Amino acid sequence: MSMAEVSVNFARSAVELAAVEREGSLPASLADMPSSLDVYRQIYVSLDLPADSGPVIGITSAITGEGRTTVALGLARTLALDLDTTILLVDADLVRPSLAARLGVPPTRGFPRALEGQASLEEVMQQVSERLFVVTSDATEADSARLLRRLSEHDPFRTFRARGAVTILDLPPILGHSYSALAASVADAIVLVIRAGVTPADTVREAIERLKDRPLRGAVLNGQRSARSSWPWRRP
Amino acid sequence: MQQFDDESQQDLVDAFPRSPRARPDAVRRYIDTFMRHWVIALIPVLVLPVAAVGVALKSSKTATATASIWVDQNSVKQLSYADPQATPASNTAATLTQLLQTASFDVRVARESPLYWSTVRTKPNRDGVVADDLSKKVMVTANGADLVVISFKSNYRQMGVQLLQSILKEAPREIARLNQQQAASSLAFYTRQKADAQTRLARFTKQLATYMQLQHISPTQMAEQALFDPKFAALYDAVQSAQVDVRNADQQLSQATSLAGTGGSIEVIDAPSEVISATSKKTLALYFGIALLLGLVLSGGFVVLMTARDKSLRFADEVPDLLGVPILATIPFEPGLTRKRGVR
Repeated sequence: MSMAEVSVNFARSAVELAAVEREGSLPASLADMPSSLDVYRQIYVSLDLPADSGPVIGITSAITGEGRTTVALGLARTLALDLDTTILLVDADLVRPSLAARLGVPPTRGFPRALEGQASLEEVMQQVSERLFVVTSDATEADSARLLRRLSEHDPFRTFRARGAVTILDLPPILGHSYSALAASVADAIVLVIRAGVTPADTVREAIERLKDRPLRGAVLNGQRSARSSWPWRRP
Repeated sequence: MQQFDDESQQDLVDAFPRSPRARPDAVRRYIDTFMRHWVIALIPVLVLPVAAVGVALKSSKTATATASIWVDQNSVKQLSYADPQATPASNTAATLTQLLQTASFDVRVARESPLYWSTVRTKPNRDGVVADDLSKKVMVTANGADLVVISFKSNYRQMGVQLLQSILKEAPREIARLNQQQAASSLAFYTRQKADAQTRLARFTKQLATYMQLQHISPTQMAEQALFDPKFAALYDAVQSAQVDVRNADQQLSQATSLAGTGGSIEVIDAPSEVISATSKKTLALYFGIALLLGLVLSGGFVVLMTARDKSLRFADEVPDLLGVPILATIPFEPGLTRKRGVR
């Protein structure tokens, strides 16, 4: 999708979002997202993914607490508003899943079951808005290593790729688990979230090193205080 | 799948060019650190000046105690050591100043002033400290011919009043004691002088009478005889000189006797009273300025320290520069979002 198409869709999607929020069908946590949808459009456009290719976008970070889930949620919400295709948001952080809590839906062992072949993704996904579906996970720290390895070996998103759906993975932090970087390889494009003013540059550098030979497309700097501290450098 | 090709990376880097007006990175990071920790950074700047002014207002008030005394002119004139050219007030002021130079007097005065005594009682070399302190801090000045003003400045209320009351109580006693001491020695000295003069007078009178009898000189011829008779003239002069000495000794004895009864002639016109002087605006401004400067230094040091310790990435243009990864977007800081949800 080109930037022009995204812009055309924006007015329609904004109206839809307002309607959805009025009807109360959008979970409160989604309605409470940062207001700058355009940031997420910018991320999607910058990834420069082929249209209708059914891409899998992995959102990860070096360590926990960088806003990884926030970015994944924001991107999913924005794309659900802007694109005429299914958006699948998957909680692939099998060590400390948090998507269910953020969405306000009951935590289910959805994604681990799909990885173990006990159910298909269609069976475990939950619809939260017209085009947005989520697959949650519960705390499976004990067998997270095995599941992450399975994720890297078996692409569970084949059917969604074929349908042209956009899959967004909330991946575990790269330095949080040895298999995190391995699991990230399932994504067609990886976005690294960095919390501004918190994460040391060396830590991020180490995470990037682990993502070597993985499709890392770029970074998102989260929480930059551009509005106040660096207003002279703001872009128009 | 590829990581990211050089061309797309360059495109993204080009999309976020550094502003030509951009400040040096170090300055930008200092400003950012301040913006992140401005509450803590401003605490010294705000608290220290307020605290300093508070301390200045509370602690630097000075209590000035003053007393005025009237000097009896006659009593001063009687004093043998008084300067006849100076005014009574000057003489009394000089006497009081001299008394304050003596450690024994100062210690007696200090003991009579409970507040002052409590501040010096336990000090080593207490008597020396007291003598040094009082001789410097108690100001005695003559005001006109008969008025003496005595004052003392202290940081403690009522201390000066007590001290001046003690000085005005002890000074007359001390002066009287000194006068009696001096009168006693004068009496002894001039009594001997008079006795000597009387002995000489008796001896020369007898020699003169014998000589007049031998030379048949009548008392009416004494002046004429002295003109041409050198021996008679010498005896006559010796008798007159002895008579003068006896009279002088009598006068000195009389003066010494009266001196022994003087000393308590200080009349207090204005009893010791105290004036509390407020802290001057200049002092307040000085305290405020120093504290503000110190606060700024502390705040600046805090910001520099925090900046030096922080190795995190803060600005979008640092990511490609330091990590070689293009920046896709920046999400602005939203206060409360992180704290509210514990964003991961």
